[in-house]
Amino acid sequence: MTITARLVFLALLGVVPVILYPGAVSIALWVALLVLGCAVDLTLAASPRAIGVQRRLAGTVRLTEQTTSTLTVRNHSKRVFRGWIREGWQPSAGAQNPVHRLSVPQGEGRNLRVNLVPRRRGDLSVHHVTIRSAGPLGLAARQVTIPAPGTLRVLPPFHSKRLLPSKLRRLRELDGRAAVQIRGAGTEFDSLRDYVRGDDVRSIDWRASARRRDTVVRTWRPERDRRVVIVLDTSRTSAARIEDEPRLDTGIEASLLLAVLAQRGGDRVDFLAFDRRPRARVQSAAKGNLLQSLVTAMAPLESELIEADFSQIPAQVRSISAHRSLVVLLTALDSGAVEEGLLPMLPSLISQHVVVVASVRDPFLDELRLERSTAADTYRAAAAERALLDRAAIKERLRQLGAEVVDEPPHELPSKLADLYIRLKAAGRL
Amino acid sequence: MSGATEAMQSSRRRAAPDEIAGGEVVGDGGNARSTLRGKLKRLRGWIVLGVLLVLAVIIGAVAAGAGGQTPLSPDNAAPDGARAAAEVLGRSGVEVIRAESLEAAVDALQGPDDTLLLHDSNGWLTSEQLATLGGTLADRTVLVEPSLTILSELADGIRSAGVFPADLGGPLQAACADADARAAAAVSPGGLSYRGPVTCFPLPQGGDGNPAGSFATTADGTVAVLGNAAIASNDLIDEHGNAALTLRVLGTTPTLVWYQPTQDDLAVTSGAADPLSLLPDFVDPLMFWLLLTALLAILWRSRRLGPLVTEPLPVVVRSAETASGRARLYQDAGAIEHAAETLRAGTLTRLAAALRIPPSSPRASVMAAAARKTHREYADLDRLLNSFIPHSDAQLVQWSQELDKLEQEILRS
Repeated sequence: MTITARLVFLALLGVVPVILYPGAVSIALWVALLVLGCAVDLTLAASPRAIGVQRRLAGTVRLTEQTTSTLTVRNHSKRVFRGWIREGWQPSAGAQNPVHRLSVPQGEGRNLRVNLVPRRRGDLSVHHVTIRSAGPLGLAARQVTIPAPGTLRVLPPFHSKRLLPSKLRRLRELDGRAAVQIRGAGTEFDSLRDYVRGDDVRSIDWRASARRRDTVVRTWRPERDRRVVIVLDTSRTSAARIEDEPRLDTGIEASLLLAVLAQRGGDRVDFLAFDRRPRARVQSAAKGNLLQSLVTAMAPLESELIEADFSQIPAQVRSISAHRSLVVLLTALDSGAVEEGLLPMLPSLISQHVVVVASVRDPFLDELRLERSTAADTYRAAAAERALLDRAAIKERLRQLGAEVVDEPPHELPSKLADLYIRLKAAGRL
Repeated sequence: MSGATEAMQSSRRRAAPDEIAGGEVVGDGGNARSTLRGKLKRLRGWIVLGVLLVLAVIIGAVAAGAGGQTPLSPDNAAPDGARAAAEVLGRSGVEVIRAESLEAAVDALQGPDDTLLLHDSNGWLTSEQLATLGGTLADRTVLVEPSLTILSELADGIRSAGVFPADLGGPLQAACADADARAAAAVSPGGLSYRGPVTCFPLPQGGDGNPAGSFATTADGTVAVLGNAAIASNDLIDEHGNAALTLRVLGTTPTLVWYQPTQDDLAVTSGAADPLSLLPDFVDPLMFWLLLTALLAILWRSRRLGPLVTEPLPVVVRSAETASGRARLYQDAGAIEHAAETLRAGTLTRLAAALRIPPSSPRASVMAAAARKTHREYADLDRLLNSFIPHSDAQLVQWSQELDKLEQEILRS
């Protein structure tokens, strides 16, 4: 049970009789009045255990968007329900109006809408609904918390979606280019068209021109149906927060943009989240919308506080694709972790696939490097310099092994990774 | 009922296709009684603790008793109290009346055959008040450590003779004709000394023929002065003849009025009004009522609408943590040269890139290219980029700032 503000105000009103008739009698009478009021309320309140709640919830929502949890409250008791209902969402679900005051006549139902503005990606849960049923006088209430679990999957926001049109335009421009501009080993013949001034004379198809009276040139298009395997590292290094965003979330953004772009480019995209074992996997062979299945698979990903086991990656990639593929490793280029894990594994992967290592670069290190006003600052600048030099050395070694490296600050990584993909595709290296 | 169906239908219409609807949940499977029982079970520890606390407070209050802290009070069981003497007197058939005020003492002394014990160590009573106790009101008066004022009002012929020396070794011998003193034979030394018509337990050294003593009475024996309150205290009453003297002096009449004046006696005589008594009658009940209301308000606010919901927080790892850790290591180890070498290597790498020189080329070629670009002295560049080794923090800071300036200069040009 619980008491309400009204009871407190009624008690405060008791000041009047206490002043007018000082003594034990007036106090006792007023206390009796309060107790009687509470007793009446508690007896006549609708039982909160006879109130049924049913939740309807959109299964998924994108971060930064808002959604509604609709709670249907049915009164199965013989009395009118007056009171408060609160939905117990976890704080990051951003419930804006979790508490509702309402009155439901006996046998009827009402809908409550709780607006949710999630503040975090992942599975957000609600465990209970608390029902407080006040009596007719509104002095005291009965309260019960009933378990009514529910889950809302908050999908990654995919901010880099805005980059998609420009990247797609660049991808389309590859189609129908003259061969010389993109000459490479694997470009595919597309079609013949009339020569226009400006076309490279080397792309004139003389045999076709001989059959027709006009000069004809061959056009090419990038190869299609290549395989792209995106491997996202979810180990401890992905928990690091760079510019107020964990590496993992930046990796998710970059993977989404690359996946959508590659799919539009006609390639087959596979996704794997991995640390010591696979955490999430999306197959290109699966039916349905790729973006939808990707975001749903990525939503519950969390950084695990364990070291990644890179030695398993070649086997994992082989199980996804037996053919030559573009393998994109989204990981961290911190010295130590890379030298022991990634570098020994890379040659075997590079021998079969085209490998891109993408990593989030920390702009804070560049700021630290320039701050040299005190002794402590200078030592910090030296430490930052050391980290940057180590990083540069690792990048150099990766390049020597034959991998492509993308090392960019968080807001540029998705764009730069997409650019690299377009470049590789244009060069026919996929 | 129609309203309910309407509400249901409209909600069904509004429901989006991908909405997930759970089943209806009614109640938590318990009832009011089980909830109450569960709550009591959870709070059992606190309830037991609260009951114990209340019991401890009650026992403490009872043990302390009313006025139980005053020295020589008949209710005080502490070493300086006199509960032992009062109890023994009570069992011997003497009615011990504890007078709380002057009026009470005067009232109690109205009957025949009574003894007044007056112990006013703080001197609260004035001469006028003492005069009301005098005369033939009490058949016998025992004054404990009386002051000059009390002596002059109530004990004619007995004079104060100062403090007993503290270094008296053994007990004091009676050495007088008084029957009570002779029965006691010896008492503990201490307190104040007096001279009267009959003086007992004198100072051992007093050789002038009329020594001051610990016990004195008037010639007719109706007023006795007890110079040492300690002999009646719980602590010392069982030593020497203390008990004999105390009980004989106090227990000769069926009624003993034990009067220890308090501050209240002073307040009455001074006539100053108590400020609390000027307040209206309703103030005390009002305060109580407001306290009660505040308690209700606390109860109202303290009851949450449902339990707290926990948030599973993600791990937060600051990105530049390793860099700052390494910086502190450099500083603590005093690795000035190492830090300088690192800063220099970073600058050279960037300069090589800016000057379009292969990163693996020797320092001399970078310096030569930089000299061409900046028009600085080659020696100056050599100092900054090659030869200078700082030996203190100050040198390191200054040199690194110069290095940075050079780098900015080349990168901007």
